[in-house]
Amino acid sequence: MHYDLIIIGMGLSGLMAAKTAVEAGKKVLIIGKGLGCLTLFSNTIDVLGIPLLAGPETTRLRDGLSQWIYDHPEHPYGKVGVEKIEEALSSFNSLFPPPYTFQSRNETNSLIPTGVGTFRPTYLIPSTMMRGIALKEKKTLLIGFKGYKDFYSQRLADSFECRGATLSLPESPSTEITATALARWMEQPSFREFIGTEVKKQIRDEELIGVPAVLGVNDPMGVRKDLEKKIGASVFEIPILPPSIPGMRIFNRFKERLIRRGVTFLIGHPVSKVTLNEKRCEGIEIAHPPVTTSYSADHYILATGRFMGGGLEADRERILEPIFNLPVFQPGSQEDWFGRFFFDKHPIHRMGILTDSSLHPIDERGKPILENVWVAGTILAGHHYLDEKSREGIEIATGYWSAKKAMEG
Amino acid sequence: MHNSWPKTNSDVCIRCATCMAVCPVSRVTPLFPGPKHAGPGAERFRKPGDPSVDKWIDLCIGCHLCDLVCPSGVSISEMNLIAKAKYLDEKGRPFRDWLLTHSYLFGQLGSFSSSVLNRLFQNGVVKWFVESILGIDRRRELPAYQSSTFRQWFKSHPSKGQRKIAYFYGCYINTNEVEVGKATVQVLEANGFEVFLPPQECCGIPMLGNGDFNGARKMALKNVPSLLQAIQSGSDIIFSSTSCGHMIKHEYSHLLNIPGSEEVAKHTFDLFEYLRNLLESGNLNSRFKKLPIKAAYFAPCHLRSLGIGLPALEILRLIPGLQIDNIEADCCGLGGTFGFKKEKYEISQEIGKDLKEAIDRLTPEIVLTDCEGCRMQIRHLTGLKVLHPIQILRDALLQGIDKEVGR
Repeated sequence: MHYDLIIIGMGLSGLMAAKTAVEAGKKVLIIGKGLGCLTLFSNTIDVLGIPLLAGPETTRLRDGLSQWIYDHPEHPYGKVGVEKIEEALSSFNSLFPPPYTFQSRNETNSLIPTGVGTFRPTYLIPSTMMRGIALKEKKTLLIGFKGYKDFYSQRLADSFECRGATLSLPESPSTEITATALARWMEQPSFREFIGTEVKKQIRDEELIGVPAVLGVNDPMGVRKDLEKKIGASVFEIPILPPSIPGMRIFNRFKERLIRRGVTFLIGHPVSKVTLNEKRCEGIEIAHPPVTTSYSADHYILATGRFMGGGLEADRERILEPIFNLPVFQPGSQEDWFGRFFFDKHPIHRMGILTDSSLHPIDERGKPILENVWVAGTILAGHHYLDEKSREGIEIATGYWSAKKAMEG
Repeated sequence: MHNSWPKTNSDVCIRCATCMAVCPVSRVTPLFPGPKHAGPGAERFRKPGDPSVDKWIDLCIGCHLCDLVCPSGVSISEMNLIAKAKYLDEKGRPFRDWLLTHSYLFGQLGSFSSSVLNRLFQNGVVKWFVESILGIDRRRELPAYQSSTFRQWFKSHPSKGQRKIAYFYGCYINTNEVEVGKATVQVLEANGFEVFLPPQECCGIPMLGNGDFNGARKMALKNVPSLLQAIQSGSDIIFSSTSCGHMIKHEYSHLLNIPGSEEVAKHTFDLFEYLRNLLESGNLNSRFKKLPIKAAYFAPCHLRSLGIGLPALEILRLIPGLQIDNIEADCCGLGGTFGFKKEKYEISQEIGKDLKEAIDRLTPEIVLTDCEGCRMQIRHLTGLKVLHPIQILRDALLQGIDKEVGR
């Protein structure tokens, strides 16, 4: 089968690239070794959560970004530019018309409470989580569910200096409950009736009710509205540990829209081989033992993520990019891989694929390697998404931009 | 035989929980702990000589969705299946499971006596017997037999074309949904193929799904030589049931190690995958007439597992006037024989509820899907008319088909 564009990787960057290309009328194939990482990470859309932008009522994101790009020209944001980053974010937003939207407050970052008891700066926030910003100012009750191990309301209440309660659920007296089961129950009116009654019993003088982000997959705003009616107080969702229900909402929305527009999805099988001819990729093979299938395209986008999704691999000597075997920017020796703290500017996070300003992969001397291949997402070098809190922003911006560039080239 | 199964890759699992996002069973019942625990989690505690401890393993519906979404390539459902086989080997299998997995033995008889049998299936006393003695849920309609089989129809049907193609039609098409087989033959003929039916038995997927590896292997050993012969005579093989197809193309070699199965896999294609290849090479007969119908398409789990995208949807979109949407839902919940079992009926229906709601949101006139199990379940859930996509394609092509071959 031949396509205009083949995208390898089904995370947020790959999906954004697919959206951008199919909206321009291109025939698109998107391939994922697995489902992509949306169900793991994303609850909200981080763009840049550096200290300058972290506090409430601080710098507008746009100004912060411009300064950041000025200071870090080699950052993926530097290749895309502020204007195109904003264009990419609005393209993402167009997938979420009301009632369930992603918005910023006054174009700045906001601090929202998380399911592990911290406040985290983030930019675009789903409607169901927006009210969490007011947790510090308003009296809040946090509700957990017995058997759901990823959200301990009393423990969180200690961190947030509010009150917490745990509800026992009739359908599952003592066994473990998963986020997906909870989200499904939430979509049933009878379950909401039960939750509403139980929460009402727990309320003293609280105006806000915080719940884990499990208010259904299909219609979270409808679920919330009904719950609020039954409880008589405002309800908001708090981001949770994987599997992320808000991440599923994002993935499902992309998949639904993209399939409707004719994008072909292949989930579950890795790219086993690429055929290169001089500076061009001529085709790929997908292995599904005992058969392999060949696909070709005019353009290719590599958006395979980092170590967790298999975009980067490590052996004893070095870090590799397993599909195109592109050079990976990395410290010279393995000893330099180590750092004391995983989340604190650990050197492993800086490794990645070097590209030129159009997101073409380049070698150490800056020469383009493959003319019809572009690279997008967190696999790129030059960022430190954990520390910068920039994961989704990088994915959306470079996914969008790589597809734009691929269509030009 | 057990030693040859690749089953020790549980350490590849990074516990990321992506599989927990898609498992249709753990979403609806706390009785099944979900793929992460049931698969690689529990696998670390399983030793060949030790008795099984995980009773819930029998609740894995075998949809393969966990395998597909895993970023680390862990074959979770395969681990579950092997553990299930061991558990059932120890516990013993009810006669009910034998009956459900050997329907191919009495299919011929079923067709012969269809007028009596079909009425019996609806009889309250019979239903009571079937439920209380056999453990098949009375709320489930037993599939009705047709009085004349697909094979019988094909015998009196002279197939003509420039190129030969072999058709693996499967048991259900032969005795219960003959129309799907006819439509497949007619569309292939309209594309210049002479269809022939290589000798074939049940593909074996009902046995495999119930952890009966030996039973499945027996069927595979009958089918593979016959299919190989068809391939050696220069034809490809197509299937219209994605479950049979997945079994032949992937499980025969991967799980059952049948000699020659890899060669078979390379020449075996999903019907719509084959038509899409014709389209790609400019050889698809696409002189479609207008069909002003609002339809919804559901991709069966085994189609997703084939890793070929949604070829039926791509082809159906070529039909003028046909408004077709993809149904965004996971497993239908029937899981082959799973949903017929009394102790699993409720779970099966709960899983189906999500699919029903997704269908309701689209308000289609008809639903199209490639798997007979999904068709049964969707009829049961919605009461809508449910067809194989090839039947719609045949209708759109009919004007190009010789009337005599028509219906």
